[in-house]
Amino acid sequence: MNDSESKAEADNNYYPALIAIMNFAVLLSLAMTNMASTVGLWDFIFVGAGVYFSMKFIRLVRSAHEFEATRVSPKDRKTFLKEGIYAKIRHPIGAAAIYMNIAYLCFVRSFALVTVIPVFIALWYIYAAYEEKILVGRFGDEYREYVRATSMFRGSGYDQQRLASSGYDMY
Amino acid sequence: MLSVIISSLPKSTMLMQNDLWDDIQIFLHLLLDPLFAALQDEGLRGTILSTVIWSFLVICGLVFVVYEFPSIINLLTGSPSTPIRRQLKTVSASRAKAATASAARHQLSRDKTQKERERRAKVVKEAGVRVAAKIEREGALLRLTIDINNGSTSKIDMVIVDLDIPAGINVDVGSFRMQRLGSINVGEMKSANFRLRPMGGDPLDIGGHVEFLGASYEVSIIAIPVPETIGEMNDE
Repeated sequence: MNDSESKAEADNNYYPALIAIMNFAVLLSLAMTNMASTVGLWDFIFVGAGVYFSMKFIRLVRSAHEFEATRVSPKDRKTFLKEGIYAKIRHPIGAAAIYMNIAYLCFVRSFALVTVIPVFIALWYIYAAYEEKILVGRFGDEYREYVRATSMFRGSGYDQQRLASSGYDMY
Repeated sequence: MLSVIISSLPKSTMLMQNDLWDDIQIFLHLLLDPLFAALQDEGLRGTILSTVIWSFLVICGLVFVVYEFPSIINLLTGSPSTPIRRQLKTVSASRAKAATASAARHQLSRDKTQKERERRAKVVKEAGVRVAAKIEREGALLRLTIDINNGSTSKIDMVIVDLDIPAGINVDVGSFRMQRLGSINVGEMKSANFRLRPMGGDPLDIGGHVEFLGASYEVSIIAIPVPETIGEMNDE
């Protein structure tokens, strides 16, 4: 999608923002009351892992918002994005939020979060599936081909999927 | 004299090694002992952990707010422009209008697909991947060389050269109509050589295409230009 097209559209993709606000409001309140106070070696390891997942969150959010159309509702997008981070994963904002949930778990180190985080991860998955349903309805086979070539949340196996969807080796 | 030097050599090496390890140990103790001593304090460790944790939580929160701020502000103040689909739904619920809206959406989708195709063709043209073809006689055979120069800003993968050979020209035994060149790095050039056997056909009719995967997952196809002839083509 070119820039002028996307800028002309409204920033009306409210659902990710709303889900994220709800998600992190709950996690933050739980973090304040349940943060572990131990300071052993494992705590340092967990916090290190939390830092790693937080960095992934920042990287994914930044990469997704390189494109103005990220903030446009899937119902109003003129085309679907497939460059930059979208060449590897289809829902970078959802992926970022899931990584941040894991980061919270590592930071807080409490079982209280273990019960809540799967619910939010499921919520992000449901939203991603809903968005894909809309985009398949709008763009049809072209979007299905893109789905075959990319992952929903994780970028692994990227080259293999690209190979599978490219028609290479079909001679 | 020489034998004395040789026999004392391993001993001196071992001595040097021992001294070196002692020095390293002393150096590490000097460097790390104060750190370990400080980390014995549980209060300090707790402070370090909570500083790191809350710093990252605040930074991530700010990153999210900065990037999602336009959506949130539009949600709070009301969107500046209502999406097209909703307008169509609220104008009228009659069947005829719904059908018109549906047709318009299909048309929009078709237009977008067409635009996307044109955009892809333009991207391929502007990508900077150049293909050149030259043909020269090699005895009774023809040697066709396809040069692919990756002048784009990203590596191209799975490069395939596929020839479209006219009647009257055959591929020589041991040579193939299609060749895979693998990946071509930025600024790099790779060539595919084909040995062809002329049987009365015109070598200038040779066509085909070069296919590759660009930085995104898209497959790009460039047609092979008319080969440039080098030397005399006709039999003497």
